[in-house]
Amino acid sequence: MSIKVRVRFKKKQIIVPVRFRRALESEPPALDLPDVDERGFAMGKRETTWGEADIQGAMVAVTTGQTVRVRVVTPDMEGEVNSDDVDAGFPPLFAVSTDPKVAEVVEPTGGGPLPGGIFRLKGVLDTRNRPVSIQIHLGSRDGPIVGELEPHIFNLMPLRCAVHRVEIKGVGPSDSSAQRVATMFEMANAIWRHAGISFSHTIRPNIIRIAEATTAGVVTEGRGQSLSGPNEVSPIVNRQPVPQHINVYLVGKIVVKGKDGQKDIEADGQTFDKTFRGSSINPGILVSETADGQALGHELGHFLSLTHSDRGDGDVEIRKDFWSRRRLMFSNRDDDKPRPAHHADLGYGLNKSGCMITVKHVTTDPNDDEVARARRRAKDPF
Amino acid sequence: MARANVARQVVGSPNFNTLNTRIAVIRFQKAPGEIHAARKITGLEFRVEAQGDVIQQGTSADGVIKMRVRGESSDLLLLFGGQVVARYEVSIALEELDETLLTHGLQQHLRALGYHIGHGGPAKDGVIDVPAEPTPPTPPPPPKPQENALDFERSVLDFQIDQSDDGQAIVPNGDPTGVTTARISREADI
Repeated sequence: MSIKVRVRFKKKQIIVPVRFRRALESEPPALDLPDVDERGFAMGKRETTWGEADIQGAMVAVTTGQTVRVRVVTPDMEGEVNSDDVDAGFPPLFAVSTDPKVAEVVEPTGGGPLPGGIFRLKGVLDTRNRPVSIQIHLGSRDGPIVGELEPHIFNLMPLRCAVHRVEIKGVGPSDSSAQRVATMFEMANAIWRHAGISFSHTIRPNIIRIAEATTAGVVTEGRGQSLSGPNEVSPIVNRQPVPQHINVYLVGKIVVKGKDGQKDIEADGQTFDKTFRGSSINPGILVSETADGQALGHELGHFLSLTHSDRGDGDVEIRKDFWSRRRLMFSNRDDDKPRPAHHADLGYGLNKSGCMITVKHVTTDPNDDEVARARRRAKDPF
Repeated sequence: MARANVARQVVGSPNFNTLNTRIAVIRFQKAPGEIHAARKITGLEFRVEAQGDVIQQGTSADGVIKMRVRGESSDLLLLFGGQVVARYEVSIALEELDETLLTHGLQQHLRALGYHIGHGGPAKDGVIDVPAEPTPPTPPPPPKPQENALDFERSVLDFQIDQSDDGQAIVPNGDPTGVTTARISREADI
């Protein structure tokens, strides 16, 4: 079970025994399975109300009243230890909150040992400038502190969505059933709950029928302008928007104009948030028949002001790394190079899209700080 | 102090015994990289064993364990209440860190700084590639799938974020790019 350590001549060796992870990697999003923002150990720029702490490690967002699972992993501690021993709580680690009135470790009783490295954390209080840490102790609650997690607790901000079914020249999406819509929103809520945002939905009884279009069942979208022929977008989003709701429109296909001569692409969704082109187009989200709950969650992210994790000004690809892909806001486009093999599993199952909403604000990343940005917009999204 | 196993020489033998013991400095931290008070793990109970003997034991006050490496390697054991909770086989490499910072050197640096790059490679310390022998210029071989590629990429990204180094870690063939070489060399000179 020993771990090989090869110290280089005249150098010292640092060992970091503990890290934090999403509790069940390779599982789809769930209300109690938040992403742990474990990008680096520097904490980035915290929101002014989050308070300052000397913790250096991972962050996690939890909704007030919600209990979530988080996993402690010890790759530089356990070596080749038997997985049964890990399941039984080896190495013996204990999770202890520095302020249980803000964030409380509710399982295991006494804080440890942690079966499979997993503990349950409850968000108790959304408060200002009261930093809290979940400290991982070795051996007992009073043992040496070997790692720290910084949770942030957020009150739930409920947002209402109105779902419209759209037929273009008599053709709508292949499935606009209440079951499909419910499944999509269930997934979107599982993704967004940790940021303290929830989405309820109602399906509008009337079908929006668009008579003038280039192709039946297809929105030919060029950022609100028609590619050729009639503009389908304006008639859809301006026809029957429900006030104080996020209006979501189920359509057949969405074809987005390619940039700079590139070929047009089919998109799962297209979003016009409140900052889009002034008042000529009502804020809303188009969702195609190929979209699933992750795609809806992604478009809701755009509605809440989030930008693509891998894109900069002018929609230019600026990043292509594991973290950019793992994020909910990854554009899902590769401009020039294919992805490496080890990007096939981003942590939600093989070939599944990423769902992470970042808690940290890495200042060199122009698209970061997603939880805080989305919550700011959620206060006044329309 | 425990006795080491040393064979007795016959009287008048021209041979001699040498017991080569060196000091390896191991720092346990909550986060990799630079020395920072908040990063130190204090109060770790440890024991060092070599050739089956206990040669050192104590408690690290400030997260630093200056352990004796006898011969090829010694084992560093972390304990709690007398129970072994982790065991490290520590050896000392005679060569310096590879400053070329190709994949091999970068992995050595990241490992030294405490980033997790997996446990693969010939020495099972996560350093996968071995330095290439100097050869006349030839076309580069096609890229091959890399062991521990995900751990390696994540460790590079972690380093970049910790250093506010804006680069994307990996291009598809697994080669790291964007790492400020001077920065990682300085960081590793700890």
